[in-house]
Amino acid sequence: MPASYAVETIGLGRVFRNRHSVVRALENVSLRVMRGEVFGLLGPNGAGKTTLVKILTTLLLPSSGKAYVLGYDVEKEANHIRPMINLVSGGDTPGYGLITSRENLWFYSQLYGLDGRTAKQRIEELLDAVGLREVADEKLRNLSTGYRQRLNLARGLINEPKVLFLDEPTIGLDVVSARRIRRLVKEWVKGDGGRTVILTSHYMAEVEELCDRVAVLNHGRVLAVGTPEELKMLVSGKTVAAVEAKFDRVEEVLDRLDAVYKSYDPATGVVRMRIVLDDWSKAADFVEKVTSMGGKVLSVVRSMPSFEDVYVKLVGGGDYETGPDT
Amino acid sequence: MITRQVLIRNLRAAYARAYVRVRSQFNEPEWVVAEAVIPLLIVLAAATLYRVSGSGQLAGFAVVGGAMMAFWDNVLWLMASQLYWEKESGNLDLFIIAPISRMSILLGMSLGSIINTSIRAAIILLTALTILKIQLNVADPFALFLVFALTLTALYGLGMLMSSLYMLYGRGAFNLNDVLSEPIYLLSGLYFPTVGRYSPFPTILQVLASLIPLTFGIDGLRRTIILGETLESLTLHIAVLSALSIVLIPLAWRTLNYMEKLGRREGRLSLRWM
Repeated sequence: MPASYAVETIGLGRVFRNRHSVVRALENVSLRVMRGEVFGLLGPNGAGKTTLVKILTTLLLPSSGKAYVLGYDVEKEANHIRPMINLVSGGDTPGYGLITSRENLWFYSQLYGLDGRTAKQRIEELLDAVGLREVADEKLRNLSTGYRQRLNLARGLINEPKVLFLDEPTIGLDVVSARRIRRLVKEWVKGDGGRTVILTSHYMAEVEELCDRVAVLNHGRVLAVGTPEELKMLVSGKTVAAVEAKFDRVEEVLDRLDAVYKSYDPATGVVRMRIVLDDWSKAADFVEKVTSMGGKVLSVVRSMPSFEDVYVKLVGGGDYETGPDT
Repeated sequence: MITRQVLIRNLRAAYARAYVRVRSQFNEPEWVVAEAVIPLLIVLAAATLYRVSGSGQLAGFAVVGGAMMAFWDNVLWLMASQLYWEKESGNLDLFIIAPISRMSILLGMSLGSIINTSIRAAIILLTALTILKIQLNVADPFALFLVFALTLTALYGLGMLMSSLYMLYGRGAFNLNDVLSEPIYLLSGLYFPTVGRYSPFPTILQVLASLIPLTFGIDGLRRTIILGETLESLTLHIAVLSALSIVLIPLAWRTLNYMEKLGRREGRLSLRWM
C-alpha cells in the first residue's frame, strides 16, 4: 500500500476482556496523520491514548478496524513497520542498571543492526544532543530521573525512526527537564521534513506547544481533531470564570463538581476551579452553587478561554449549564 | 525468508544481549562469589558424607553434580524469568517493536548466562576438588567437551522454553519454580547418580528423569571426569542430549512466537494499556 500518511486508522476498535469485565478501550477511531506532523493524542486516564499507541507500535492487535503505519498494516506487516518506528514511554526506565549510559545506547543500537562505526557515531551525536555527555560513562542505576528520561529519548532516536511515538514523555519530570525534552523533540522534528511524532500527554501546554494537530479522546472515542487554534474555536465567544474557594469537606465537594476543571492545593486548602460559560452573567450562578455547597469563595476572575478550557469542554462534561452537575 | 541483513541484525542483537549480561556481572563481581557459596557448601556436605561412608568415587560425583547445580539454578531462577523481568522494566516492549526475533534475545541471554555461570561453576568445582582432594580421571577431553556442550545446549534450550512460557504468566510462574527446584535436584542426579548402574531408581523413573537435560549431562560428565570413560561408552548420553537439544530449541522458538501472538491479541505483553 502506498504510504500517503504516516499513520492512518479506519474504524479502529480494541476491547479488553477478562472474567469479570469488558472494557472498550477504543471505539471506531478514524484518524489520519500526515508525514512530518507532530500529532497529539490528548485525553484523561483511560481515554485510550496508550492503547492506540500500543496498536500503532505493533505491541497490541486491534479487535476491529484497520491501522496503517507508513502504509503498512499493523496486523499483517509488523515486520515492515518495526525498523521505521520507535517508542519512548515516560515513566518507564528501560535499560540495564549495571552498565553505563553509553553501553545502554550501544545495546539498543544493536537491536536495529547498526554496525560498529555507525553506532558509535550516532551514540556520540545523541549524547551531545540530549545533554548526556557528562554521565555517558555513569551506570544507569546512578542516574537521576531526568537523565534517565533523556537517555530514554536518545534510545528512541537511535534507529533514526520515521515515526516516533512519545507516550507521556515528560511525566514525572521537573519543569526544567520537561522543557528540555520538549525542545529536543522540536529540534528533532525540524531536522528532517519526513519525521513524524505521535505524542500522548496529559499536559495541555505541552500539546499546545509541540503539536501541529491534536485529537482529543475520551472513553476510547475521538471527540475532536484539529489544530490547537481550530479547537480553541470550540469555545470562541465564551468566557471563563476562574474561581478560588475553600470547603469544609473538600473530597465530597470535588466529587460533586465533576463538570468543572479543578485542582486542590492541600497545603493551603484552596480549590481552584475553571468553568467555561456562555456569558459572564452565569458566573453568579456558579458562585451561588459553590456557596450552597458550603464553599467560601476567595476570588472570581474572568479570563479568556485557553486550550485547557477546550479540553475541559470536551472531556470534563461540557459547560456549567449543560453539565451533569446542574 | 531470512536475508543476510536480517541474520546479521539478529546475531548483533544476540551478541549485545550476551555482552550486557557478562558486563553486568563483571561490574558487580562480588555476586559471583556470593552465588557460589551455597552450592559449594551443599557439595562439600554431600561429598564429605560419601567420603565418610567410604566412597571416594561418589564424593567426586557430588562435586560434579554441585558444579552443574549452578547451571540449573541459573536456568531456573534467572533465565526462565528473564523476559518477565524485561517486561517489568519496560525492555520487553522495546524488544518486540525492534526488527529482531525475540529468539536472538533469548540466545544472547543464554550465552551470557553460560559464560557467567561457567565462572561460578569453575569456582565451585576447583574449590571443592582442592579441599576434598578428589582424584580426576579424564581419558577423553573431547568426550568431556562434547557432553558439556550438549548438556548446556539442551539445558538452556529448556531455559528458553521456560522463558517463553513465563513471559506472559510472570509472577504466578515463580511458584512453579519453587515446585520444580528440589525435585529436579533429586531426579537429575545432583546428589547421586539417578540413571545407570549406580541409580537407586526403578527403570520408569530413570526414563522420566532422562527427559531432564541435566540428568544425562551430569551422568556423562561424571563418567568422563571421574570414571575416565571415553566417547564409545557415551553414545547413549550424546544421543539423548542431542535429541533434547533438537526438540527443546525449536519448541522454545515456536512457543515464543505463540506467546507473542497471544500477548498481542490479549494485551498481556505490556504493563500499561490505557
